Formats: sequence, C-alpha cells, structure tokens
Amino acid sequence: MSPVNASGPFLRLSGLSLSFGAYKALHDLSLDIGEGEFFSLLGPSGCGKTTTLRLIAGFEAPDRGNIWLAGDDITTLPPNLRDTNTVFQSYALFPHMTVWENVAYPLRMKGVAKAEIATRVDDAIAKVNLGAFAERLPHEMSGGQRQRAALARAIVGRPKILLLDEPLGALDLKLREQMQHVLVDLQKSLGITFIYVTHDQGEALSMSDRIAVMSGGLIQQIGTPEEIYYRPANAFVADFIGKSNRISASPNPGDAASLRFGPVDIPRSRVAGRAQPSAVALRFEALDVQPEGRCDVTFDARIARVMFLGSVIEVVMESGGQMLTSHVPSRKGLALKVGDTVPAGLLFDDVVYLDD
Amino acid sequence: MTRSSEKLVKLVSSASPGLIYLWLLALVVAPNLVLFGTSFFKASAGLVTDEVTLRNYAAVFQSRTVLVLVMRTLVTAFVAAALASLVAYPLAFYVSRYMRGMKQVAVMLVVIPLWISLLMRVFAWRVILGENGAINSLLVTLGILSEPSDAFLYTRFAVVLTLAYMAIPYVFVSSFTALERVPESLLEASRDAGANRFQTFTNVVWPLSRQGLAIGFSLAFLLAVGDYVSPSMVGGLNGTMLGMVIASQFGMAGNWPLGAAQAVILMLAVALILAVIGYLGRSKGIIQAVDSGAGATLKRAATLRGRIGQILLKLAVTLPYLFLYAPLVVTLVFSFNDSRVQTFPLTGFTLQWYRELWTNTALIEAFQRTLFVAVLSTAAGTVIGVAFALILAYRVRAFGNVLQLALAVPVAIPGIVLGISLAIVAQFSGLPQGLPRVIVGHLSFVMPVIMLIVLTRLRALDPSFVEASLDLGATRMKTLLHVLLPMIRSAIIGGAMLGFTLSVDEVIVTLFLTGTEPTLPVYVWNQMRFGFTPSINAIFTLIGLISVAFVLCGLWVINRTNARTLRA
Repeated sequence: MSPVNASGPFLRLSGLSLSFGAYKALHDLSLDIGEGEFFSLLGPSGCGKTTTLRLIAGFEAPDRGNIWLAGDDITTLPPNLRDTNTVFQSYALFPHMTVWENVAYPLRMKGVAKAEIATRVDDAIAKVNLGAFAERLPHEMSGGQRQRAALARAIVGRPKILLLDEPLGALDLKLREQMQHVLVDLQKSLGITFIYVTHDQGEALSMSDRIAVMSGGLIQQIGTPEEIYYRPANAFVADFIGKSNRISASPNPGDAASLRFGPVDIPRSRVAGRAQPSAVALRFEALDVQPEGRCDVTFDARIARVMFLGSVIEVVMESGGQMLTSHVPSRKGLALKVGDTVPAGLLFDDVVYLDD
Repeated sequence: MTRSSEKLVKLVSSASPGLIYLWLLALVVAPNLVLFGTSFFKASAGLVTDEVTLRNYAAVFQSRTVLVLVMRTLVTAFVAAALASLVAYPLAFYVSRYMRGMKQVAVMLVVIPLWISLLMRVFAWRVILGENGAINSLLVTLGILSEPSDAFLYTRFAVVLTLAYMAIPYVFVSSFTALERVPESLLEASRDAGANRFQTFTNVVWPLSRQGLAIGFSLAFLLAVGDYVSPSMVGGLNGTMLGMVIASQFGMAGNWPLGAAQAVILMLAVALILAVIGYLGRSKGIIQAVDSGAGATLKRAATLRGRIGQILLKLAVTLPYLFLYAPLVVTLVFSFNDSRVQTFPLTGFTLQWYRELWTNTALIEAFQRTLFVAVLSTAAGTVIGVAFALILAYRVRAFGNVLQLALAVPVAIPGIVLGISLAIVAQFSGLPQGLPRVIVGHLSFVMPVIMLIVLTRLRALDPSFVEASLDLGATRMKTLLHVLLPMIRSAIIGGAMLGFTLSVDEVIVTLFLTGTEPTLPVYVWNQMRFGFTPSINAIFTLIGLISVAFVLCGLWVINRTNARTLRA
C-alpha cells in the first residue's frame, strides 16, 4: 500500500496547471498515488478536485504538467485510450440502452468476443446486485439502482484506475452508508486503484487509505484519514475536517515560558516546532466537560447552550471572553444547565498549532 | 375579481373541452371529410354532380402520366428532404457540440431566412440559376463554360435544390433541439468506456438525436410535397409536381372531384412515408433531467494537423450559410440595380425601385392586407391557442394526446391538400370570399403552432406552482394571471412570432381562399407570372431588414430578461 513501489509511482501527477479563461482551476498540482490504493480528493466545491479527476480521465488537457500511469506519459492520450474508467456524478447511463447494454458497452467498444462479453457483463451486474434489473432502461430504476449500474459499467472493463466523481451525492443518507460498504468491499476484491472525489469528509475518512484535502486549486494536505483528522497541516484543513474550536493567541501574560490561547496556557516546551503559533485548533470532542480522567489543563466555563445530538451532547461555553464548544458523550449522563459554571479540561497532545 | 367574472370563468372552463371539439369539427374534420367525400362524386362541365362514383380514383390509377407524376413528386420531395438533412444535421451537430459563445448567433443565422418571403427566395434562385444568372455569369467569366448553360434552371435539379434550400432551417432547428438535449456527460461516458469519436456518434449521439432529425425530415418532406409554387417557378415542364396538377383541377381544369381524389392519394402516400420515417426515427428511454445539456467539448492539444483540420472544418461550416444567404443577397443587390430585368451583369445603382414603392398602390394595399390578415389570425390564434393549451394541460384527463394530435393535423398535411379542403368547406359554408376566408384559413395552422409551443412549456412546468398558488388562496383566474402567464410568457411570444411569420409568408393555402384581394405573397406570385417590377425586390429587402431588426430586438429583450431573472 505504499504510494511508491519499486518501479516508481503507479500514478504520478506532476506540476498540473489548468485555467478556464481567467479562472485558475489548478495551480501546479503534484501527487503520487499507489497501486491498489483507495485515494480520496476532498474539498469544497470549486477546489479543483473534479478538475483533477477529469484530467486523469482525459476529459481535459492540462495547460502545463504531466500525468504518468504505470510509467507511461498519458497526458495527451484521449480518454478512450486510457486505462481508466469513471463513475459519473450524474451516472451518465445511456438512456436508450438497458442496464445490460450499458454494462456491455465498454467491452463492445474494445471488440471483446460475444461469449466473453456475456459472462463478464453478467458477472459485473451480479457484483453490484442488479441481476433482476438487467433488462431495465435507466429511467425505469431508482437512483440507487442507477448508481450501481454505473458502477458495474465502470468496472466491467477492469480498468487500472477507477475514478469516482461524487458517486453517492444524489443518494439518501441510509443508501449512502450502505454504498460506502459496497464500494470498500468492491475495491478490496477487485484490487483496482480507486480515486474518489467528494466534498463529504465522512465518506472520505471512512473509506480512504489516503486523502488529499484540496482548496483553491491547491493541495492543502495529503495523509491517512487519521493524520488529516488529528494533525491538520493548516487552518483550512482544521476548519474543513471535523469540528474545531479556533482560539487565537492572546498577549503573553508575562510568563515567557508559556503561550496563552484564550483560557488556556500552554508551556513553550509543549509547543513543538513552532516559535510563535498565531492560533490553536481544538476538536469539539477533545474538550471535556467535568473531566474525570487526566487533563493537562483545566479551567472554569459558563454554559451558554446545551443541545442533544444523539450520541453526543453539544455544549457551548464561555470562558474568559472566548466561546468554546465541546462534544461530550451522551453516555456520561451529565446534568448540564444553561448558566452553570463547570470545569472544562483538555490534553496538550490534542491541540493543533496554526500559523495563520 | 368580481363574482360575475368568476362565474364567467367557471362557465368557460366547464364548456372548454367542448370548444376544442367545435374547432376540430369546423377546421379539421369537416375539411377532410368534405375533401374525401368530393372525391367520390362525378364531375360534369366544371360542376360537382350528385352521382356517386369511383371513376376519379380509377382515372388516377389508369393514367400512366399521373402515376409517374405521383412517384416523381414523392421522390423529388424525399430527395429534397434528404439533401436538406445532409446539410442541416451535420451543421446542427457542429453548432451544438463545438460552438460556445457564437452558438446563439449561429442558430439565429439559420433561422433568419425564414423571415424573408419564401416566394422571394425562390425567385432569387431563378435569378441565380438562370441563363443570365449568377452561376452562368461566373462560369463563363472563369472560362469554364464557353456560353451560358440552360442546364440549371427549369430542371428537376432546380426543384430539388430550391425545396432543399427552403427545408434546411426546419431540419436544422429540429435536429439542433434534439442534439442540445444530449448531455455532455453521456459523450464523456462513452469516450471513457473506450469508444472513439465515431463510435460515440453512432452508438450514443445518433440514437438519441435521430428522432429530432426524423421530425425535421418529415417537416421538410411535407413542405416539399405540398408545394406547387416553387416547382412551377424553377421547375419548368421537367420539374412538374403533382401539386401543380391538383391545383389546376381547382383552377383552369375545373374538375374538383378528380383534384380531390388526387389530393387524397397524395395524402395517403405521404402518411405512409411519414409513418415509416417515424418508425425508423423512434427512440428508446428517457434522457434524465439531472443531466446537463450540451456543454464544453474536450479541450485538445493544438497540433499543426489539428489546426489545419480546424480551419477546413470552419470553412465547411460557413458553406451552408453562404448557401442560405445567397438568394437574400441577390434580392438585396437587385433592389438597387438600374434595370427592369433580373439578369447579370448588373447595370448600375438606383434608388428608383424604392421611390416607386410609394406610388405602387396595388402593392401597398397587398402589403396592408397581409398585415391585417397576419395580425388578426395571430391575435385570434394566440388567444385560442393559449386557451386550448391550458385546457389540454389542466382540464382534459383522457385522450389529451389524441386531441392534441387532431388539432395539429392542419400543420401536418401537405399545403396543397389543406388549401383545397378549406376552399371546398368555405364554399359550402357560405363564408364570404376574400379576407374572411384567408383569416380562417391561416387560423387553422397558426393556432395549432402557438398551442403546441405553449403546451410544451406548460407540460414542463412543475405542477406545484399552480398548487402553491391555489394553496395560498389565489383563485384559478388569479393563478392564471399572476403565476401561469408570467411563466409561459416567452413561449406565448415565441409562438405568436412564429405564427405571424407563417401567416405573412403563406401563399399555397392563401391562393385557394383569396378572391380579388391578394395578399402580398399572392400579389408577388401574380407579378412574377404576369410581369415583374423590381420594386418587389425593394419591398422584400425592407421587410427583411425590418424583420432582422425585430428579431435582434427580441433577442436583446429576452437576454436582458434572463439576466434579470438570474440576478434575482
């Protein structure tokens, strides 16, 4: 699962730039993706993630930069000659063909023998559990069924890379969670590299081996879901992934050995690597209310709002003029009232230091 | 809203499906039944007798000349429609898929010639193809021909060329609309699945757009098969078509039943051919609304070979436009030419023909009549068309599609057949000859066109708009005024503009209904046969320029409205 194998990276994007008129969609983007990886491009709309996917698929040509797949430069190769297949956001099923005909299409175009087409199409349709719908036309099926048909069509040709453009975006929550399992299982059983574009951090975190967080046509951070979640590289990633309190640095209280962020003093010895971070980010769940275990620092806070969210309770508190939000497990069974003053605490290891 | 007007609305809406049946009876059922009936009576000395006979049909099938003529008419119309399709479909494909900023302009440029009189364009072709015409002058000047050839005008080639020329805009619009509905993502999906451009076209674009082409082809075929004006102007003896023979049965030959029998046979043959085309052009599946329409095409690396290809392609795209505008340029040029004869070379510049316009009272009166007929039939057609569309969309539960099809029949039968069937009914009904008949005749095809356009828009509307309005306490009348009409306004305006254009330019049906008071196209038609004044060039140049200005203003207004809607 390492991004670079012995003979170089499986897919290498190097220095890709693309503008549409005055609008710069990508700036000098470089990225290596390993064979068999489940890789996600995550970011808000307009961040360049779909453009990156379309460059890999061959629907756009970069202004500058190159794309290598398994050692070959495929930058100018037209999409029909690339060993990549795409699951489109709109599914893009051919409306005049049945599911079976849709799935058979890539094999027909490659000139595969009829008998082989039949077995491979049946096999692909069975893999996505659409056996009963093979003869349906796209408009005769539900969104989830269309989605699976599009998936079958994209995997039947056994591409080197499967590109998925927000494939679950149009499905309802329950179906989306179900499809996440289907996709992960499929990827493991096929062993194909998946590149998955999404704006949904939940999808990216739960399915990916690695994630590239993008914004403004630039990669903000590449890492495993855990790295992205617990060690965001900058303020953008910290804001975009999960829910965090952002606390700006306060003027130093005169104690040269520590830094102050709102109600929290952090010894300089614990601020790794940075001379003067301008702010810190603290995950909602890293801030405990009425802590029972070990804490590096505790302070008093006044409760401003309490909201029951199911598995957690969201507590909004004020301390020293700083509003802070905490997610406390509901199972802790805290009896919290607005206006009460309660102790709150955190561990220095959970604090993320931001430069900007 | 007063109580009495509420009652009126209720009354009208409860009677409304009845109004549709009344219209159908008067303008669809009666003319066709009467035409059909007439074909079974014996004619004697220019009058229809009460003797029932099959002789008229026997006469058609026993006459080799007529049978040959029927075949020739169908083949000529088919070839013309095919030729128009060969030009219009690729052009529509290019404009839809490869143009962005200039797309609207490219479409408008194809449609604008429709605003210029059909007769005028046909006449211009005569000038281009004639012995002293543009082509001969050019070929002789270039030394390709030693003397002018008569091989261009008064041939079947000239008929096919002219009919194809007239059909191109219709095939283009129909194909373009279908192509625009094919989402870009489907083309990408096909390329992604390993199909090259050609395979993508044959497997995806063609199956999804051929229905649009089939509709355009059918329109072109209908226009060509029912036309007897163009063949008689550019066809000569070799280019005679059945329509001319049928028309003469109602004119000089004076044998209505025989003409009716020929018309019925023509109509049946046309129906059969259109059914086959409809079958071949059938489509499967429904394009999902979530897909976006035609959009950006693939950005390709600019190689030298690619660039040369691009230049050749652009040249190829301009050719149909040259073809479309050549007759218009001829009209424009000759409106300033200092000669009574429409031949090359040009003799000199003059404004004489424009000055003569103001003194030619017959021409000005014909022009006024045309406007009168067009305004009245468009106004009535708009009111009735919108009402019928509303009834069909919201009131009629069962057989809505059947009613819609029945109402559209006058648009779908050859012009010559519509003309004579209306003429016979008008004769029987005692409707006064002249403008009243012309107005009713124009209504029969103007109304369905407006109705169909409005109905298409209404069917595309989210029904919750109406429900929301009713839910919020608006009466049905207020819902119509404040919610529905604003949303279908552009469809109404577009339909009315199209109806107006059709009426202004109509000559085939009008010729049968008009008496001694010709409309402008009929006046021009008579002029062209019995002596021609170049003032006609001048008036059509003026009309053409005014129409283009009108269309451009319309586009500007629509764009401005769209921009405002987007901002809001």
